Amino acid sequence: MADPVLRIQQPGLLATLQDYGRFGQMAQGITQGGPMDERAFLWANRLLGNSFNAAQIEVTLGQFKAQFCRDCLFAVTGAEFPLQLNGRPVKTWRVLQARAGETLTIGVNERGLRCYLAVAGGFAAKTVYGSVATVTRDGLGGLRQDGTPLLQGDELGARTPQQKTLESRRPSSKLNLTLPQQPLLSVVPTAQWQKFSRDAREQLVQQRYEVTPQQDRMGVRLKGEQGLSDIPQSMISEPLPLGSIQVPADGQPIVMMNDHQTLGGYPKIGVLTWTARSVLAQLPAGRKVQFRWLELDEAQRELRQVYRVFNIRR
Amino acid sequence: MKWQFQTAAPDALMIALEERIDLSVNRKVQRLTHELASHDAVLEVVPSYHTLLVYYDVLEYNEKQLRHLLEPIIKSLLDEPDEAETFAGQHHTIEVCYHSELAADLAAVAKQTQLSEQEVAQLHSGVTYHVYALGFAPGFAYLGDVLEPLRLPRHDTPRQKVPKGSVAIAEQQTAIYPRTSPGGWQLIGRALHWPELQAGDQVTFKPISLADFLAHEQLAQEQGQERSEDDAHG
Repeated sequence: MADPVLRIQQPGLLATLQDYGRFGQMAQGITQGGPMDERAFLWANRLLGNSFNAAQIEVTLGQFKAQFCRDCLFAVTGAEFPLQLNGRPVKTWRVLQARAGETLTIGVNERGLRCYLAVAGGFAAKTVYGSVATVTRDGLGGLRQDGTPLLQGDELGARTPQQKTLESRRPSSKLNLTLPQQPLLSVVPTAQWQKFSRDAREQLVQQRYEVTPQQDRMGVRLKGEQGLSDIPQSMISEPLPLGSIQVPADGQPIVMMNDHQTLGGYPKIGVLTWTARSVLAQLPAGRKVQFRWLELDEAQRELRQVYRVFNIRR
Repeated sequence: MKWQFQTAAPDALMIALEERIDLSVNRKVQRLTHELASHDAVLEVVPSYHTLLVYYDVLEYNEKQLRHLLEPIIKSLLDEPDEAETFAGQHHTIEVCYHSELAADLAAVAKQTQLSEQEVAQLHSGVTYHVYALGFAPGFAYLGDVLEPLRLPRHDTPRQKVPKGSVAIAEQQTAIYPRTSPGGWQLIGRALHWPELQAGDQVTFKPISLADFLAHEQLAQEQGQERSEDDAHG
């Protein structure tokens, strides 16, 4: 590589290159990938004046270390991990200036799972089916185009920034971007909702759920005190949208996340909204959440606003 | 044909036809997929057996408007007579070795179906299959229909590792695992080469001997080595 911007010194548990996702290939069984906490990802690109689709590093569980190979502006968004730039503490959710040779250290944080490291212009990598999104299960994307996560010693280049940005730029403090103490996740009734009993639909929003350790980039299993009753039978496999809540026979919900399989046969009771999905992507095992029903119109309004604010074109 | 819309996501609408694994239903799904994919309001269409998921442009349309736009297209297409004999996909022949050394479940499948291993191979390779859908993993094609005597359920507990190229059956479906992955289907054979399959394509399997399979495998490895040596020098 001619002129790298960043050298990975320590990737931590899992650090992957992600852009907005791989679209247009789901009919071939190729899933979308992309950032689990889409809100944090889009904010990082916006702060830096990048395109919504510019590639970033999704760092899972922190313990990440990388050296800047040249001067650049960068930002880290997502969960509030402690950050150090050459040993001095710096803040998440704002544009920072790095000098060549400086080292960024991302520590540990027990309240959220993921953060996003973005540089002005976005990281450069060869696309596979139009995207650099790393999907290990599909063997696609990333620096090597084969789904391998970032490794120690990897060097990443950056694209030339198209827009100017300012050091210290950050989202308005009026926007509530911190993780709520008691997350309330909005769900739109979809798919087989009508086939679930009234009791089951009530139960989903009445009881609290715990995030389980059975979670990864494919999906998150939740556990309620009681499984939902009268679950509709499994069905002939059908296409599965991002954020869908599948309910298998044990009555405990599974939320399909970015690397989900494209088809699935368990009945679905609803789909998480954009914000709810970004919040869930951050919650460690043991955290309690509650669901609430939301009308489709409201969820669409939210999505439209997101598309406009972040200038997303699919 | 009966059908309905279902809300699937804030930006996606499901079209569900009659709920059965059936060639004529699936052909309609594929016709609709083809027709709707080029519609101005539509961003992406994902088909399965009897359903198709339509992602649309929420900046321009709400769900009600989209239903209104798509309904006449769907109705007119479903009203057309079923053209069972017209076939737009490609036909592929794939060589398969049905041998216990390469297929962990072949002996058990033979026992459960009260057939010999050779009869299992004959029944499996004796029909032309239709590609109903792609999913589960990139390039994983769901083929059907498997003949009645061979229909067996999935394993209760999926295998952690199904070798790449495994030819497997589950109920009325059969598939080739395009890469090594976990999987719960019954493994009855192994293929060395297969084309990229598309929904609507047709597939027949041609049995080959273990000796032939191993010879082809060795040849492929040697060619692979030559290629990687070329790469190293290039």
